[in-house]
Amino acid sequence: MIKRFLLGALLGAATVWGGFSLYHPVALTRENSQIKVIPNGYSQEVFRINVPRDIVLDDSEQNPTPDNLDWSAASFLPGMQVNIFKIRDINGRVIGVASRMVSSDLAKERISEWLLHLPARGNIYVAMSGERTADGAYLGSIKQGTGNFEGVTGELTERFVKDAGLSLEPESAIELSFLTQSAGQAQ
Amino acid sequence: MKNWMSLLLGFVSGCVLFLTALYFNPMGKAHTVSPLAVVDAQRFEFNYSLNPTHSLLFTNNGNSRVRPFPVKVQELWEPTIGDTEALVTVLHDSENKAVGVGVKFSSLSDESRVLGGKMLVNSVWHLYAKNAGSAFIEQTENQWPYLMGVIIPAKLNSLIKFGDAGEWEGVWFGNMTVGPNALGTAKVTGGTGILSGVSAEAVEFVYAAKFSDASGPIAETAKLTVAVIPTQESD
Repeated sequence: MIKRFLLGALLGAATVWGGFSLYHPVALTRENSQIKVIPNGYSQEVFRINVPRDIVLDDSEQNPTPDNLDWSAASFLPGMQVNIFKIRDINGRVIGVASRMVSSDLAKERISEWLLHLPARGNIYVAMSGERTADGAYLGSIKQGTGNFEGVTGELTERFVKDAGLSLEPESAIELSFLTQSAGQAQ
Repeated sequence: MKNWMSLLLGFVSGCVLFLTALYFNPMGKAHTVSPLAVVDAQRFEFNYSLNPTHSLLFTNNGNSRVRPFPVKVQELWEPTIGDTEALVTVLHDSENKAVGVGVKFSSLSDESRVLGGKMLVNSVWHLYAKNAGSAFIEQTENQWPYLMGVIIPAKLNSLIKFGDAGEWEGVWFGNMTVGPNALGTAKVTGGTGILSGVSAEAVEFVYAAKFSDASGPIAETAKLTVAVIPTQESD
């Protein structure tokens, strides 16, 4: 009887061990990346933020999002603008989130940065240079990439695309176009 | 019949023993000493509350124990970001003076394994502080010790109370950061200010005193320490 008990205990422990070995508590959902290879060795990927649908946080006084946002605790940083957005791939599927920090207090330190967080792929940290193209787009460069973007260098062009008036609900967009080169390509 | 009963009793005992060993596994205990404690470096401390109602904004998929704040904030319900949380909070220095604002994105990692005692979270900070500048911090956190020390005891209290929301009260603190750097520290990339262009590492500690099974952290704070590592030229 004791032998059977011990055999059962062994079986029980082995069952739990086996179950946990096979069990993966997290299974991230991945979308295929929409990367376009450019002939000169660069890759281009465009992300889109639909406005206002993808705004999670906008700390502006005129039109805060959410509208019951209380930003008074951060009022000691005048001129600092913080945004959080959902970001979509070029096919309109949400693939991550992004934060943007901009300081309009140019008398002090100038800050204009993006952080893109794509859970299944990695992160991209971008510093905007303040330069603008002829068509009004802002330019920036990648300071750091992690995960799939580790070692990636390149430029970001941030462009505001006005609503084309084709849909019933007006929706403009912020377009983030990355022109990148991986560490291997750069050598 | 007796033999089968012995086998069944043994099986249940084996399951319970294995789960108990997993719960009390000493390898899963919190690390309470910072790997940066012995580093001679300029440090910046950023403290913040883990109670979402003390933050500027907190959001997740809307189905978690911790509810988004404020109430009308958009939820991250899409499948690709369903395991992601976003926190925006004021950062305080060691004298509890507000010095900056930080955005933290945390996503569960698919490298989490129950048997290895790994409940891994890939998190990133995008922060600006008046005294330090802006920075991007990438870290891997292991929330297993916090799960075993705080969340499960609160859940067990709920079960004992037969449905009433259980709470955990006590003293728990531990280092959440386990990577990606070799010493188990977070990687810091400076953007502007003092942190621009320097070599820096970070760790994040959690101090828990009260946790509710129904609503999450009640009295809990976290401390993010950024240490600027001197380079050989500056020695």
